Parts: sequence; structure tokens; C-alpha cells
Amino acid sequence: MTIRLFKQRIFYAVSAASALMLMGLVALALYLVIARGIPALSFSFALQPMAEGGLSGGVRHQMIGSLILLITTLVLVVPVALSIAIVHTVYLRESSVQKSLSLILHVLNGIPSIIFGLFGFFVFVKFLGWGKSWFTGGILLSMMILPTVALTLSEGMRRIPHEYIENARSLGLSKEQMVISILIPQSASSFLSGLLLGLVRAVGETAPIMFTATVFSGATVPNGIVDNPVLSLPYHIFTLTQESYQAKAVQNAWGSACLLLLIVFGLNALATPFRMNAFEEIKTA
Amino acid sequence: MTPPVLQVQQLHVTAGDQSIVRDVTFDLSRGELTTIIGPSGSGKSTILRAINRLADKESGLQVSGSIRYKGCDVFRCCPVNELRRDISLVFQKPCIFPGSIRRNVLFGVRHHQPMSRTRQNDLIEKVLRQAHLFKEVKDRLNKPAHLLSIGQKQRLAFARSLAVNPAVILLDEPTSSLDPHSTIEIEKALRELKSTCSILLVTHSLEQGRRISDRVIFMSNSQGFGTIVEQGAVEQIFENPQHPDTQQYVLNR
Ligand SMILES: Nc1ncnc2c1ncn2[C@@H]1O[C@H](COP(=O)(O)OP(=O)(O)O)[C@@H](O)[C@H]1O
Ligand SMILES: [Mg+2]
Repeated sequence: MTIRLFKQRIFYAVSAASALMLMGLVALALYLVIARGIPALSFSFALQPMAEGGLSGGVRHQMIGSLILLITTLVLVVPVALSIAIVHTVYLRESSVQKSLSLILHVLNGIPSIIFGLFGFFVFVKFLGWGKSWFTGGILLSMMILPTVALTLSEGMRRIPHEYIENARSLGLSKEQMVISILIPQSASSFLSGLLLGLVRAVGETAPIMFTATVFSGATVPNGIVDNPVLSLPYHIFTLTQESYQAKAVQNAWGSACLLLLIVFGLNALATPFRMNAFEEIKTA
Repeated sequence: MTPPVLQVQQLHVTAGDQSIVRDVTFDLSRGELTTIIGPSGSGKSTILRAINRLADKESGLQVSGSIRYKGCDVFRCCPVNELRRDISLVFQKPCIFPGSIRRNVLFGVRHHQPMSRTRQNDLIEKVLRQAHLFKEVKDRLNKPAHLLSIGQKQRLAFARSLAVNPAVILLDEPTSSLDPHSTIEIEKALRELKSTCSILLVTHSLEQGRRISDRVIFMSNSQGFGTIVEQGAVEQIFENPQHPDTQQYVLNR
């Protein structure tokens, strides 16, 4: 056996072993969550309000709270990401401002989520005096996922063949008309896939919302912005796990984890066709 | 004699410090078909893109000199989106937008004016007939346009340009990759359109130039940048060229 072949084999063995190990760990985590969560899981668990401080009852308002955070994030991130991507691809073509914007987005993408929590705590909770509010949660989560969504979208826009843009422009379409009739529809699948990936991250985050938007108990459906926190699944899990001397609390934590996973998998499943570009409209000649 | 529709004077196009074309001067008159011939890389496409303002607006090239359309300077007094409706460009490679044939024909014009369904149908039929495509597609106007053959696609792109009602039509080697049938149909269409529009056609085919031109512009890049070597009536350029470069290119001697 030559040395080169030997090296190749070693390399292959090491990669295969690490891949297997990683998959094993993921499978173990999934198994734990599912095996322990399933016994707690039922329709009434998902639909009933919590009772006895999480020891019995279900997670109705945690689900509603997480949904409110998710929708707020969605509503806030879509217009901002869209504008950033359009400015980035159409108005800043090849300029140094464009490069700086990319850089800022990439840096923003790497900021740990707890920093968003701290920022929100000082700016919204304290400085603006909003107290804990679902709206702050939406703002922070959308800030957190904005880079992912905006970058996937502008990547999608840049992949549109330039001749489509030139053809549209040569027919006398203004930049705005070109954006609406070519750029946005042709990058819709990247947009949706980036958006769903971002939302998956947002719905599972605890750090940005734990001191700004969510409480463990005592909130239902918000009726304003100031001092209107929501319950949420991740924070529910976080708190219940800290009470792990109570068997019931632990079981309900696993149940909530299982629900959260279901939501995440659901969003991921929704994103899959877009990620595979199943709806790519342009067919090149 | 009617004044020229388009006057190009002393046109220079540069990319950074590299000249692409220099000293380009010619007129287009109404009712005439002018062709630009010349070796590849001599700046033929660049001239069309400069007139349509893709060169300075979209490709970031530096364009100087003057281009006057109906007497007004296109770099100063014509809003670019209106100019492009009056001076439309048909590209070498047809670019078909997603959606039906119908949607493709209306792609440009529907942004410029609202139209009733009946007027849309009339317009679609009119421009598809002008582009000699109507007979082939009249039963499938609502079918996806990307199913057409490449020759049909090019005629569709041509019809789409005609739909914005241009006064000047620029075509950049529109038949270079087409089947003979589509090529002949496009040539017929150009002959018919000549009476109402000015046409500037870049062609790689001397045969085509000889068949349909009234005037011919010969360009060469033997000096390292594109420039006009000789221009004149079709008989003059093809039968009795004066410049040695033209003689070599046209008569192959
Ligand atoms: N955007 C551009 N930047 C730099 N050089 C260019 C650009 N567009 C065209 N050129 C150069 O200009 C020359 C003429 O190109 P073109 O007008 O396409 O020639 P033709 O159509 O006659 O074949 C070529 O050498 C080409 O490389
Ligand atoms: Mg060319």
C-alpha cells in the first residue's frame, strides 16, 4: 500500500468516525427529548393553561406567547430584510458601501444572543421604561435573525442572471418596477428559506427574551405594549429544569421541549422545498 | 430630406483607461435599415448599448460625445426610461421571462400604460404578427413561453420590444444562433418595419447585411479600439469598398 493511499484511508476513517459520532450525539439528544417528552405530551398538555406552577396543566399560554413572539418577529423582519437586500443589490452595486454593509451584517450575525438580551434590557426595559414586553422580544429576535434573512435574500437576488435585469431595464422599466417584477419574485424561494431558518432560531431562543419579554407565570394574552410580557416555551423549559428536584416539573420540561422541537421541525419542513429551489421560476434558455 | 432620427457624433466609450470605441459618428434616418458589420470585439454591441444607455447606466462604462434623438441630447434631456421605450434593444441571446407568451409580450408595455383586456389582445396580435410569430403561437398564448424553440423565443423577445412602440429598433446579432426559418422570418419582419421605424442592426453575417441593408457601417479594431472604418450605401460597401480593411473583410482579399 502506498503512503498516499494510506493517508487517504486514514483521512477517510477519521472523517467517517467524527461524522458518526456527531450523528450519534444528535440521535441521543433527540431520543432523550422524545422518549421523555412523549409521556407528558398530549393534546390537553398543549391546549390547557399551566397549573400549580408548572407541575400540572399544560402550556397553552406558553404556546400562544411563543406564537406572538414569532409573528412579531416575522412582521418586523420581513420589510427590513427586504429593504436591506434591495438597497444592497440594486442601489449599492459594487461600491465600498455595499462591502461595508455585508461586513456589518456578517458581524451582526456572530453576536451572541445574550448580548441582544442585555441591549434590550438597557434600552427598552430600562431606558424607554417599557418593562418586560412581548414587543421588545419581537424587536430583539428580529434584530438577531435579520442578518441571516437579509444575507440569504441578497444572495438569492445576486443569483438572478444579469441579463434578466438588463432586459427589463432595456424595456424602459424603472429600477423600482424591475425590483417588483423581477428581483422579488425571482428570489422568493431564497427569501422564504432564509426567513424560515431565521424563525426557527428565533422561536427556540431564551437569552434575548428572558429579561426583556417573557415571564414564567402570570401572563396570558397581552393587551398593550408597556409591561406586557408573555409566557414562552423556551423560558418555560429553562425555569422548569431549574426545579429538577420535582419529578413532575422535569417531565413537563421534557414535554415542552418536545413541543418546541415539533414546531422547529415543522418550520424546517416548510423551508425544505424552498431551500431546494423547487419554486425557482427562471428557466434559462 | 427629413432630418435624421438619431445622430451619433464623436462617440467615445471607455472602460477605465481602456478605449472600447472612439470617434463613432453616423446618422439613422427614418425608413432606413442600417447594419453594422465588422470583426468580433470591434465594439458593435457597445455602440448599441451606448445608444440605449445600458453602457453608462448598467455596465459602468464612461461614454462621451453626443447622441441626439429627435434633436435632443440623450445624455442630458431625455429621461432614460422614456428613451428606452423609444429606442428599444433586441439582444443577441433571447431572454424570456417566466410565465406565458402573453405575459412576455406585455412585460414592458404593461408598466407604461394601463390597458383593457381587449386592447391587450389587439396589441399582442399586432406585435406578434409584426415579429412573424403569430401563426406559430396563436393557439398557445397562455402556455409557458420557455417551451418555445430558440428561434421562436427570439421572435418573442422582438415582439416584446415592439410592444413598447419604439421609433428606433436596435438589434444585436439577433439571428446569430437561430435556425434558417426564424432568420428569414426576422428579416422579413425587419423589411416591413422599415417604413415606420429606423432600424440599426448588428450582424455577423455579410449575406444578411447584403440582403436587407440600405446603409452599412464597417467597424474594425485593428488600431486596438473599435472605430468606423467606412460607411455608405449597401452597394458601395459591398461592391466597391474603398478602405483596404473593408476590402479584406467584405471581399475577403
Ligand atoms: N463592460 C466592459 N468592460 C470592459 N470591457 C468591455 C466591456 N464591454 C465590452 N468590453 C470590451 O469591448 C470590446 C468590444 O466589445 P463588443 O462591443 O461586445 O464587441 P462586438 O460586439 O463588436 O463583438 C471587447 O474587447 C470587450 O472585451
Ligand atoms: Mg457583440
